[in-house]
Amino acid sequence: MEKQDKHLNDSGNIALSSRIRLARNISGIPFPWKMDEERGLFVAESVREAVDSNGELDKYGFGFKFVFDMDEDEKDDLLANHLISIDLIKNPKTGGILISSGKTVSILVNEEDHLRIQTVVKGFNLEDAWREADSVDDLIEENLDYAFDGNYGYLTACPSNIGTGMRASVMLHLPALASTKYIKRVFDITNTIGLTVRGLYGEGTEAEGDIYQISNQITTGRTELEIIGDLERITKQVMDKEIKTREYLMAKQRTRTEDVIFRALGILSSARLINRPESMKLLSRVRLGVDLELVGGVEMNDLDVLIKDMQIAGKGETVDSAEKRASTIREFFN
Amino acid sequence: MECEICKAKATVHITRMENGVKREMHLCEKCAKEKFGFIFKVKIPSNNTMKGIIELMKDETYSAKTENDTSCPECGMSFLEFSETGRIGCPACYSHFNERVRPIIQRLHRNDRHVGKVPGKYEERHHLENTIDRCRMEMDKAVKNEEFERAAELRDQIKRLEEMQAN
Ligand SMILES: [Zn+2]
Ligand SMILES: [Zn+2]
Repeated sequence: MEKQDKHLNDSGNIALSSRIRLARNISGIPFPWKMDEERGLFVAESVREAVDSNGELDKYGFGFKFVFDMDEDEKDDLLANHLISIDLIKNPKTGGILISSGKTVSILVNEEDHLRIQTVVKGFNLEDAWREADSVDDLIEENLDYAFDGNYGYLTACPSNIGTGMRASVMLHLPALASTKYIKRVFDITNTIGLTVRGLYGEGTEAEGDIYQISNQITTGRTELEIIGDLERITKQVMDKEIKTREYLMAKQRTRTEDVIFRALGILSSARLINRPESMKLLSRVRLGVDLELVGGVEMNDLDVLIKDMQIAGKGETVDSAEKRASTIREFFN
Repeated sequence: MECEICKAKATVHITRMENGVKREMHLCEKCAKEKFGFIFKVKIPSNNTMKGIIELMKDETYSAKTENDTSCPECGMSFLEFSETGRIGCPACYSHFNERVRPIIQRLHRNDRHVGKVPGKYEERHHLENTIDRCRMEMDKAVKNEEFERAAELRDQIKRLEEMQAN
């Protein structure tokens, strides 16, 4: 037990967050893409009421907001925190979100499905994320009739989510692994067992900032805990591989590794113009340096907030935004 | 579970209507391929997404027109619409298009049977239905045996349970 805890601690900074998302729909009502505005508003009202009228949900302090009531900055912020999705913004008439006061639980309304219950927990901890989602789901269900079939399970707008309606995912920072060919194998292996790995930002095997997300693809035929167990096993293996690669780099290529990290730090603390891809690449290296205790004086939590901010500030790249980005980063490191 | 034909491990579970009766079949992949060759012609889509489904629908084993294709009575979605969007229109579509959607679910998830969480209400309702069924059977038996007092008791009980069900 003690050993396991230590293992989790060792890889604590590799896993950024663990998430659970449950897709749910209300019985007898067409899925969002197929319903009119009136029904969409009815769904939003029903979900809101189901949440508001349940005293046991009070502790979350949920607040509701329609997409049409959000300004652009608010949308960007929610997007960067993975609380809302582009798909939700595409439904400005009836789309909305309930967010807990701590921003760890959210319920998307009228995105692809009527409800998407999402929980996020720091680090590698799918079980807590699941427990929370499961209990919020139970409480909401007390006041809503879900579309459920004895054989198919929870019915969803897309058959790819049917059954449990659950997508579990872990976000990982894999700078060492990403520099080797093994990352390609991770992609191949996970795909054959019903899981998938993708770069969180960017297409295919390219991941901006070396941030990857592992999640389940198969949502039925297995229980939620079985799916989570598979995901945990693979995630542990991938994190182990990342640690081993880091150990190798430090043992065999220490000077080169340090050089790459400190050059990144040098550019970030003095550049006057920097675009998003470059900033993400260099921040990833510095993050590795902090994790390996090569770079001192930087708090991992603060750095993660900066990385998140840099991810948002990427739309419509201009000289102005490159200058602003460079100055934000400079201030952080000086 | 064993394959009904060759006793190897059954990995394919198919529900079919035979003479109006629902029948479940459990087969290994090889026998399933022999019996329903079409199911396994296409390779697994690289990702379980709407895009993956649209890709899958380009194969005529999933999208071929049949004579009794009708639109969903609840939401009006046609099967063609599903083929093009990869999305289902409403909960009722799943039973309306069951025979067409099931092979797709099996392809995507290598399984089509939910074994996970069940909503609390559904569990209760399910239990209620079973209890009512059992009472009905007992009532019929009581009538047959001319135990009219017992039958009347059961009739009242069923009525109470049905009221609970309606709420
Ligand atoms: Zn067989
Ligand atoms: Zn329908």
